[in-house]
Amino acid sequence: MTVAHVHAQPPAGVSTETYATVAATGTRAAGATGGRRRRARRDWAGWWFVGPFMLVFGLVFVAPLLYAMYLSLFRETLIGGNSFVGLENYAKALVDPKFWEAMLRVSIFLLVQVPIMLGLGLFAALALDSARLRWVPFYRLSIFLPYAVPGVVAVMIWGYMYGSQFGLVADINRFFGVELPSPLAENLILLSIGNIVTWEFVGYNMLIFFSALKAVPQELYEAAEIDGAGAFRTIFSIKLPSIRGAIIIATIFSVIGSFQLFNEPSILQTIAPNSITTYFTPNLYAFNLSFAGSQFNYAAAIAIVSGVITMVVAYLVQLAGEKNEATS
Amino acid sequence: MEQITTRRWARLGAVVGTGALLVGVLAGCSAAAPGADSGSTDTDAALEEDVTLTWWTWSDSTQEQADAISEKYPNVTFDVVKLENPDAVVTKLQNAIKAGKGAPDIVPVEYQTMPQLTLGGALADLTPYGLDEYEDAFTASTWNSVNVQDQLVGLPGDSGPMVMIYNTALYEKAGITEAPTTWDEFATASAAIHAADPEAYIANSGDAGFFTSMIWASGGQPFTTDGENVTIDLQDEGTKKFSDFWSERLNNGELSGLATWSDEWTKALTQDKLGTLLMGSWMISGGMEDYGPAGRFKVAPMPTWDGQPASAENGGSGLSVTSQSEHKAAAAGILKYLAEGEGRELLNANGFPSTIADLENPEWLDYPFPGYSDQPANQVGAASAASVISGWQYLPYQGYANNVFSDSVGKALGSGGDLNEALLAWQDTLVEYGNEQGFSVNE
Repeated sequence: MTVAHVHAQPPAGVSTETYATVAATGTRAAGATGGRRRRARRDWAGWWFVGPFMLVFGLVFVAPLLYAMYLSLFRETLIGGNSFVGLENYAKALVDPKFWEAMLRVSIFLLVQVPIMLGLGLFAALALDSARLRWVPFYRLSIFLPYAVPGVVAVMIWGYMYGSQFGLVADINRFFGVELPSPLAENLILLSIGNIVTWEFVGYNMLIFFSALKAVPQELYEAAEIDGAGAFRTIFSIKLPSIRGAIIIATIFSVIGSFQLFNEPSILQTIAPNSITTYFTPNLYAFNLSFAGSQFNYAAAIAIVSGVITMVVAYLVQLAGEKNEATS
Repeated sequence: MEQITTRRWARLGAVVGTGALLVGVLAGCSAAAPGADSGSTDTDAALEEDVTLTWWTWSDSTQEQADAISEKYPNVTFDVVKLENPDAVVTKLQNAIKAGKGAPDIVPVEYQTMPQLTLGGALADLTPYGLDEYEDAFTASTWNSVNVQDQLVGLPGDSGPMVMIYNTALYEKAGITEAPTTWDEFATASAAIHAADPEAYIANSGDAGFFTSMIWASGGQPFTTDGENVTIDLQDEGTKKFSDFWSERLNNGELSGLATWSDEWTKALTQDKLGTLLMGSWMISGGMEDYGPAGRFKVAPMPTWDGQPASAENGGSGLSVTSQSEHKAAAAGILKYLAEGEGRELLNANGFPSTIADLENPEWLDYPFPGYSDQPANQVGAASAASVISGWQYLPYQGYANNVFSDSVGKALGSGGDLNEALLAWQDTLVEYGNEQGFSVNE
């Protein structure tokens, strides 16, 4: 039997390395209060430093991932119990039209919404950095403010404004005597969600870009000015190349955010249940599979497949960014 | 010795942080000491002993009820946990059952999810504790709802025989002074209301719970379960009758698309833009006075197809004891107390009753509701309870069915598609899911 001779607190005068020792097989534990270990075979001191991190990392990152992988290899049914099915859940996911519809939807979202959001964020950051604006802290805070509004609240505010019978849209219709299409209708809902997400995250991305711009050495601007570079020349030749790293990071964050779209459609579902399906986004699909359909195993497979796709796309974005850097 | 060793390993884990594996082992160790249920079925004896019962709920009044019960049974204390809504309770309960621990002792269950939770092994059979004695006290439809696969899995709480609550002002504005008694009259009223005010609608298009209840009230019986054999026919006569009718209203643009209980829906009701609620009788005392001045709303029987009274249940729930409860006898004893007499009054204070005696109580029947201009509205609900069509069954996975309703029928309701086609699409999803889950569906 293996017994570990370790105590919670190192007694005074005993060094950590001696203290944190796993004793050899068969040694008895009883009565050993603070005595020195004769055979200190390994230096464990490093674990004191990485241990807490490794523990948390293992618990909240590795363990759930391993558990999801484990789950995805089984199928538990309401009748018939649990059975090992190997990779069947993955085979099913790869040909599941609902899953791919969801993937297509977030891909469209990614291709349309992310450039708009990052473009606006970049524009705002450049404008704030241009030294031609007064009240810079005021604008910076105003643009950032939506990010500080909790996502749930933001969606509820927008959901109210989108209302075409009693919301802001209804008021506009009545005031101008027009008939705007309902933003909560099935054909416009993705656009409406894109609008909410843009509103929420422009400020966040602006801040990333703005702080990167602040780190650009002043000498570069001075040199450019001496060379006769105008404002736009400075932007394209100095500012944008200097913050390329920040742009790549923001893009990767946005890619991941798009694939993980969940909060906005999930909350809007309560006011527009007929416009948002249970498989609107991959995350929403996995959520409904497990919590409404008790298909935990299949949901785990869906989550892993969409996680892998997200990783691949994010990696490609990074690769493309680095490649450009190398050639420029 | 083994225990000592375990504890040492625990310290090793704490000191050197070897990660998740050890912690998993420890969690496994600590979970292995359940204080098992004694197995006694003597409910009176169980209530003599000190016991704490966990009671999940979605209702605001449960704490009050629990306090009142504690006064009657001083040895019993309650730990009332309020959750957001019935769906949240089902999800949490299913997770607890799957995890093997964490379920409460007493839990409210909607009638429509009783089969699902029974199948999942979440609910205890209450017959051994003597609750079957109360059968005669309850209406046939609610007693039928708590009996699933030859087990008594709950005590009926409130009930929801459907009634029609309508906005008298909106109807009158359209020139209609009497509540429609048939669906033909309802159709006439519907067109008139929308014509008189293009922003006003007779009703909203509804959700899964509404749709199934309307099918039930139309004599449909799309779901049949016999053990593991399930039959789904969402094009049977009754179903088709209602879906044809509702399709016509929808395609005439006479139905509001607002989601029931949403903020906009509330506004539509208060601003006289939504004419009718077709709901369970729990809505009679459900705060209609918040939606308009006294007398604005009135309660009428459900319209019918042929003039003969026909109704269905919509909503309503019972109280169950979970299979994980370690105090089943005590929990069942509390349910017995709530089955009749003063205990029953506690339950009835907040809901439409399911007990025959209460439904026939003249004092209750004749109570004039100030909100409905002194109309004795309970009479309408009681008459509806007596005309609920018998034989209805929910699916053993109704929760899932209601969840994916929006993918097919909801979609059609939202964008004006063909409801019969949508019902067939819903059916396909339900057949596929059922077969995957081990049932024999439509085979």
